[in-house]
Amino acid sequence: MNISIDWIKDFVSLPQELSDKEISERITLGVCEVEGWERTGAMLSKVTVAEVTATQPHPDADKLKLATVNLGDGEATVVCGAPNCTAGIKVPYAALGTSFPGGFTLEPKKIRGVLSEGMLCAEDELGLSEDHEGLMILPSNAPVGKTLADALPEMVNDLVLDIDNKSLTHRPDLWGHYGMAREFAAVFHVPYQDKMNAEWMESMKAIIAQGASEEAPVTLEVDADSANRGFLALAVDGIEVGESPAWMQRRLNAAGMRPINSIVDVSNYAMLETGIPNHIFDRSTVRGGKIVVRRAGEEQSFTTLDGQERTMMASDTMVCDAQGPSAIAGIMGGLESSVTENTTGVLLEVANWEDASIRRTSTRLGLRTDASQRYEKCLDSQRLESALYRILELLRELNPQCRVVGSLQSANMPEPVELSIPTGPARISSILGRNVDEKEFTRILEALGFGVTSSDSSEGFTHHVSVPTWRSTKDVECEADIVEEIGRIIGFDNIDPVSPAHDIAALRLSSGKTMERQAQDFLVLRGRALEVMTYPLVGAALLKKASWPVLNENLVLANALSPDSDRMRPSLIPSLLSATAENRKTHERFRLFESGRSYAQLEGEAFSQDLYQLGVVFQDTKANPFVELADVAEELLSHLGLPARIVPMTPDADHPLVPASWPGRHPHEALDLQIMGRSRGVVFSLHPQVARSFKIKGRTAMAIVDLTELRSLPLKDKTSFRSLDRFPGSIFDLTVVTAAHEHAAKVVAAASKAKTKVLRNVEVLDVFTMESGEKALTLRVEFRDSAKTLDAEVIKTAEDAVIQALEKAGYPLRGQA
Amino acid sequence: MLDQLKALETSFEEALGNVETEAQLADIKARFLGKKGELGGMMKSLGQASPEERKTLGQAVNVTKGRMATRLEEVRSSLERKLIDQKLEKDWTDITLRSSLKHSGVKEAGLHPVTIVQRELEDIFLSMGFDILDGPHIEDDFHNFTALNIPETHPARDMQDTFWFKDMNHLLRTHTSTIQVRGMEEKKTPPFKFVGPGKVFRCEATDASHEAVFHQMEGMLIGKNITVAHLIYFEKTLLSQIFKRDVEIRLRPGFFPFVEPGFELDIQCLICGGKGCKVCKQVGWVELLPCGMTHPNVLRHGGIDPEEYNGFAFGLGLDRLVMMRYGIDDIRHLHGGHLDFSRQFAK
Repeated sequence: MNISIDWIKDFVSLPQELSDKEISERITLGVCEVEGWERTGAMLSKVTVAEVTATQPHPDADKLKLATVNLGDGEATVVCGAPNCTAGIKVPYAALGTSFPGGFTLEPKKIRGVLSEGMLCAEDELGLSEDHEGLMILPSNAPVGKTLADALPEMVNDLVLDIDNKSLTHRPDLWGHYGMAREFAAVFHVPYQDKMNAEWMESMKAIIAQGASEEAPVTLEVDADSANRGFLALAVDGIEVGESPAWMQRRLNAAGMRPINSIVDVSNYAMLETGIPNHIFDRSTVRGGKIVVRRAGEEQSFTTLDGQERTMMASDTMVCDAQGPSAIAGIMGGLESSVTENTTGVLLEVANWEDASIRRTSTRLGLRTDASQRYEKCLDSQRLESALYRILELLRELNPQCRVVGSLQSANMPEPVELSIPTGPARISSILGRNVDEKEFTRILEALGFGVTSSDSSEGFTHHVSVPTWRSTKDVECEADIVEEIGRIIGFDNIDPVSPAHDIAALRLSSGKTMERQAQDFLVLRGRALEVMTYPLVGAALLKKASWPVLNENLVLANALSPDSDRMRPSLIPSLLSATAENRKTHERFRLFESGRSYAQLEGEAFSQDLYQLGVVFQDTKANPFVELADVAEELLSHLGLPARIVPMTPDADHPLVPASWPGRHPHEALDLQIMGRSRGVVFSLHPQVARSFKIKGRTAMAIVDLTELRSLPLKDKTSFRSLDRFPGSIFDLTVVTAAHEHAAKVVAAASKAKTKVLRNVEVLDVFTMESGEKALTLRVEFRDSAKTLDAEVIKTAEDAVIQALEKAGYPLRGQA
Repeated sequence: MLDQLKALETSFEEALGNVETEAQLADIKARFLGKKGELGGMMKSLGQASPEERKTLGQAVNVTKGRMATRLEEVRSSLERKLIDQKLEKDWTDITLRSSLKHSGVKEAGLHPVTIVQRELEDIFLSMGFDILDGPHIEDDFHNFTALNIPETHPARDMQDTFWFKDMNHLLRTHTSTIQVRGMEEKKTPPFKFVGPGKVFRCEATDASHEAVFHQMEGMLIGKNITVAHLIYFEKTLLSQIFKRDVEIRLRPGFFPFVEPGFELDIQCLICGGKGCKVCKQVGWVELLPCGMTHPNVLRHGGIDPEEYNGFAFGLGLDRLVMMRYGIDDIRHLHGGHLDFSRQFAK
């Protein structure tokens, strides 16, 4: 929104010495964000009045003319393309070397072979409006050779602030110059001249009373069920539609609105000043002498004044006449009721509408107008009356002959709501951390339109602050809001920083965070993997491509951006497969991991659970990366202090992280990581069939570890010292025969069960395949007694026990089978 | 006799100079120092000398013998070294052919840039006594809106901004501010302070600077008699740590339903020092983080009496910090899962 400082000065006298930058900064720090500022009249002192004395066609261009202009102190020939460039007119002339807004400087340049000695300007080039229809025509009495600033003092030099609308979201009162000026008065500590004061209201009422002898030509019927929050209407006759005066056009332009005609301009001007939208009907289009406000009641189409046909829903509120809708309440009028050049009688409408309803309708229609964006902020119905009076005042200024017909029609007007907040300067000071005395407290609040009375309550509640109606619709509701009012006018930059008091409390990174960090670090340093992030949202297509058995149908979004990201992923696996496939296009071997979440759908109120998971992928060409990944997984769990059993899985074994029904699991390369008694992790090779549907060539091993429950466990370090061995042990190597596909872990486990007390450790020394196809497995067994040296007899007995245990388990010594 | 001894040592040195094998070395040892060796012969001939002469000569022979034995050991050791080195020459390894040079090698390993920056911030907060908390991505209406004083009719609840699940009660958290509520529920009694980093979700079309999934870090400090002055002090300290130099900040009014007063915090442009440049759009200040004094309604929803306690909250956009630090030009890279992206941050 644009704010014209010239307009603001109708209500406040700003200190002379303020620079443009200071004004912008103080408003930014105290009220709302000024995104930029511009001097609209800056060009006026750079260009002079010139008279076109003759024109002739350009020798080489049909659409261009060569204009001879009288500059007062000489003549110049200028190339000009404007259609209205004719001899006799006076226009703004920019000499060579003039710099324009936007950084462009006029340099001597040939245009189609003819050197132009300067430029004749349109309004937009001077920053006066957006008009580029033709040259700006100056009054015939404008003195040639003078600057425009001297020649046309009424084209004042204005400072226009560009306000970020988002910073006004909570301030319904700042959407017009009248309300904004009050803030300027408070910020710059100058008096606010409220032109719409009680005296003025009385004078306007007296004028309206003159029409009361006649019957009101239009009456109101407002349905209480509609979105209306108050409706006022007044009929005025004797209107002549024409062009609005220069001062009004200039201010409209400064505020970013195009002047249209005197009636539309009055309507817009009043809105930009009071902040309250209005509608001026051509009264001849109001059928049946009646305005009816009601819900649309049924779906219907309606043509707005921009000529667009819109679909209205039953719940939208419409402003109608006796026969049908003439405007979408609070958003836009209809094509049929708008004012034309022939309009003589009008109906002024000023109404208020419920914020949420307007926002819903305008969002649905994709139609955000100057009116709707104001109503969305929850306007104050108590300001409707003065807003209507202001329209009337402006109409009378432009059409002195006009007259009010009938009495002011009013319907559904709400009573003002009193809101008084107990607080006091001491309380405010203690929240701001800066002393605010009673004088400052009162001055600031009164400048902003609040009422301050003292009360004798205790505990710092020394005052009552009454909130003006234009602030109490939504914005100000409690003491904290008063703190903001005082703080922002003092300036938060005037509060000295203070360190909070120290409280002594030791703090460590939580166990869950520590575990996550340790896992990430381990996977980088030991796993030599790169961390990636993939989207937690996936689509059914990806899950189906991965043949994933769970589609998370209950975790589908109502308003997904795309079917490819319409639901929460049930597992990291499909996302990682997709990332693997993508990276496989450019890399043959890689290792990646993600520390992310998948999401389980739950029954009933619980709805869902976020699962904290680690996913690791080792990708290789021909060599099988499975065992290397399994090593990393085993060491990771040990590093995290998580005791685990690692068990090979059969093809039909179910697993919470890789269901038996998922075909992506390799039939015999899959290890279940049983952490603290439950299957919370898995290492597996990707089944070539699923790899194929992702076009992943080579060999893929994946690991998933679910830390959801583990991360909330306190990390315990159970490490404790054991005396060093003082007595020598004994080593026993033996080779047993096993079936070709026997897991070594089973053989080691069998040996470990030997009935001897001196067995300390069993490891696999060597494996080779025999001619028979069977496997020969050489084990190294260590015997040791911590209390004494083993004698030959004990060793012999222990060796026999190991051999026996292995034989019993079906693993005979090699050579004795 | 002494001349004879000197001549013997000279011929010993000559012989050593020509040694190439251990066998030759053994020969020399036997020839000069052996029982029947030349030095032994000389020792025997001493018997014919006078007792005085015998003493002087005997000493001279012994000194020579010791020197020769030392030399013999020196030559033996260097001969052995030479022989071992000849073997080592055959057992040659290309010490430049490291993994980093090989096609098959695992070249880089490292953390994601968001993890790197997030950890750094977490550590700064931890050093200031802030706990690091978290909450679910799938939230309910209460934790994302109601408890944060965002009323039914607030535009943030619109489908334009929020991903809703089909039950229209659950949603994807639109901000880490939900962790304020989770934190109050968990911590129960002030004083406490914590931050909550994590992913957030917005239903908006993606482009180079907009993502539907991005990262924030929420912070909250609740205690007794907390003031705006404390908030300013804290933010200045925090940001000086984050940017590793003193920073100037300013607060200006900003509207967020869960704080009152609410602020936009600007940091004086680090590029131009406040003079005005392209980065700060000539203003000299860059908008960095929203913050404010926690709204009493939020405390109430968190089970905390606003008459007894108060405090402040703030939010940081993590992705922007990450992108600023590394000069990343497209936010969509962060969730792209591409190795060519991640490897650039590997160490």
